[in-house]
Amino acid sequence: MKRFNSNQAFSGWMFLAPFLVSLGVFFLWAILRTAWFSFTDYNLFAEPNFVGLENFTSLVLDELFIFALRNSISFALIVTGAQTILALLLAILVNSAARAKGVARTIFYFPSIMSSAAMTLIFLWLFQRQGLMSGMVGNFVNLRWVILSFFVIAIVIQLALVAMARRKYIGVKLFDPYFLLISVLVALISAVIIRMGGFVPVYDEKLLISWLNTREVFLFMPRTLWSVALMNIFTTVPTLMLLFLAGLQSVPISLYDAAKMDGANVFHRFFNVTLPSLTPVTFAVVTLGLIGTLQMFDQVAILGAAAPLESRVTLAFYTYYNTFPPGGSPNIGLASASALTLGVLTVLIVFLQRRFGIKEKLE
Amino acid sequence: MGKIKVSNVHKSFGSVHVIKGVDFEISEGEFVVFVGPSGCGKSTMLRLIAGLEPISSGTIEIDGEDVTHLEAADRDLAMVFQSYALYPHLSVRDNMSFGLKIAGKSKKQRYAIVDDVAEVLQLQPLLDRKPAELSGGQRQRVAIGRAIAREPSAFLFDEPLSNLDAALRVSMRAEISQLQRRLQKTMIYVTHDQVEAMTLADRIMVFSDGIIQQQGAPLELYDRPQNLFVATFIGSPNMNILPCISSKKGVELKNGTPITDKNIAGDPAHFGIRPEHIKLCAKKDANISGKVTLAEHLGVDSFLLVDVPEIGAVNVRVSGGAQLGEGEIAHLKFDQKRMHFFDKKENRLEQ
Repeated sequence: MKRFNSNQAFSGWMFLAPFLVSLGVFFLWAILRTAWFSFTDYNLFAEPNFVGLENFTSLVLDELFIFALRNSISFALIVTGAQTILALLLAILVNSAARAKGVARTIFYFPSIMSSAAMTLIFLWLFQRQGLMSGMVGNFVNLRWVILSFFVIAIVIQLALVAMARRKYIGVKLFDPYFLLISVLVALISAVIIRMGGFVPVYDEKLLISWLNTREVFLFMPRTLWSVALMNIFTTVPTLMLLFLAGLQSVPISLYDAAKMDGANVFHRFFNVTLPSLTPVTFAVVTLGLIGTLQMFDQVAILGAAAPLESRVTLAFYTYYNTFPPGGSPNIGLASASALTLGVLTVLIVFLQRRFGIKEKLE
Repeated sequence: MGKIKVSNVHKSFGSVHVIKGVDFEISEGEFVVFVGPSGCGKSTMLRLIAGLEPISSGTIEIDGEDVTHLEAADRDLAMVFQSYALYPHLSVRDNMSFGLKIAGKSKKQRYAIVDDVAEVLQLQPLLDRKPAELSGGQRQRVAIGRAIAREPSAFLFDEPLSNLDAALRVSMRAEISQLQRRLQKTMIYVTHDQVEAMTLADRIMVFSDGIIQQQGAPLELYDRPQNLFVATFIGSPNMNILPCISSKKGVELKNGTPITDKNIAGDPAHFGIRPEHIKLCAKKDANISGKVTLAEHLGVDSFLLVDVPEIGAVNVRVSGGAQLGEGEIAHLKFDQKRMHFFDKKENRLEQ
């Protein structure tokens, strides 16, 4: 290959300069500085003094840091898992919409274009002790027998209709849409009659659920963070859905045809054609999801006093909290140590995912 | 097993009427080829039989059972696709046994069947590979193996050789032909390549414009095309079609050159003669003469394009090497037994 002359080399570097400068200043320099500060007692005002591993030992001894670590990891795993599955299902749903695919796509994308601050404020309101979410769950609990009868009636009617039709025609599907419509309608009317007639007990308990302002831990994550997870999933799923949609549209139709000829039903086709073909997209979605969720900051920051600190603290928020502690002096050394921990943790989890989870390429 | 009957089938995609009333019956063990230009409806017809597309009206029966509304899986057919359509994440062995697995066969049974099929198709060394590690020809062989492993009552081939290179196409064609003789199963084969059609078929159905233009044994289509479309579609190079009129003394070309002294019933408007049925001759015996504008020498044959004044270009195929070069005058004589006449509606006139 011909070597570039100095003139060409100069213009080449000039084109690269904007990227190199931003990479150098905001990435490499920032990392080096953070790494250095994590071994000092820097507090923004005094000259930093080298203190060895002191910051890291105080991290491990700080109960709040342990909370943050636990919260961040569980939040990342739960949200990434849930949003990946939901985005995939939603993409399949939108992709299979015969009509108005564009409209469906647009509607489902709306949550993603809202700013997360505005979204958090809306959810703060929904998650009030006597708010909409409590009301919805309360209704569900109080009307449990009516709801149960609705489903039982719908299933029984659907099965009966399909069984009857199958005696006359071959190839009637279990979820035949016309029968499904009839079953659901009849079940709905029956449920209303059951409710009005008082044939099953209807409770009138006032449920007061503290969605945010609680120290309670459900499974291994504070209830507050479960609520935040719900909100986070709501805003991220649409973007990920778009990635899956693009992936779905690149699956060759003839693969589905071949699977149909092989006798594969919807589930076989999903697991043997759709999922394997989407492996590269799924890898991207999971990796982006893990990185994004591990760095979760804005939503818990906006919660502020609406929830106790240890129920909402994440590693990113812990770093911020130590940089600008309310009423205290900045502890840049400790914050740098936790930021570094978060960085290493992110790289580690993404690596483990890639090694043992979903691969980048179909093998 | 493998009798297929198609009655008055129509298919529309939205407002586009693709299949416009097709009827045919295929008997057990027959090798039928659907041939036609692209967009003629041949692949759609195959997909209708397969059950991959719902039909708009009409019925399809397989072995006497109405399968019109059955799912593809319940029709006991296997299909081979142009793009191979192998499952990319499965090994060759698992690709071939996928249908058997869904049918509920045990692993032992499945692999026994796959091993048998692999032996027939010489696929044993490839059984543990993934499709990405195979060449195009190997992939199509696996796709055929997958179809055979299912032991269907009939096979459907949708342009299976179109993605292969020319040499491979010839050898795979021979293999498919041997396979059919060995399996004695009904096969429907879609292609736009008339050489494949002529060499493989027991019966060819020529599709155009959503209907069957003509069906019959390959040589029957060659010798007695029922209309102008079939006449020009079958045979390479294409049949020469020259305008003609009846005269008192038989039929003549529009410039008054007599072609035959026989009287052709009906009103002949088009005279057809295949390039291979025109001979070079002495000037006194010639029907027409003209200057050679293009001479292609293929060794066994030569193709001559002769520009005949007032008539136009005529294709001639002469056996042997170069007899005439470009710019020379060719005197041409039509084989009296191999002439075709068509009326104004482009239908064949019997002699």
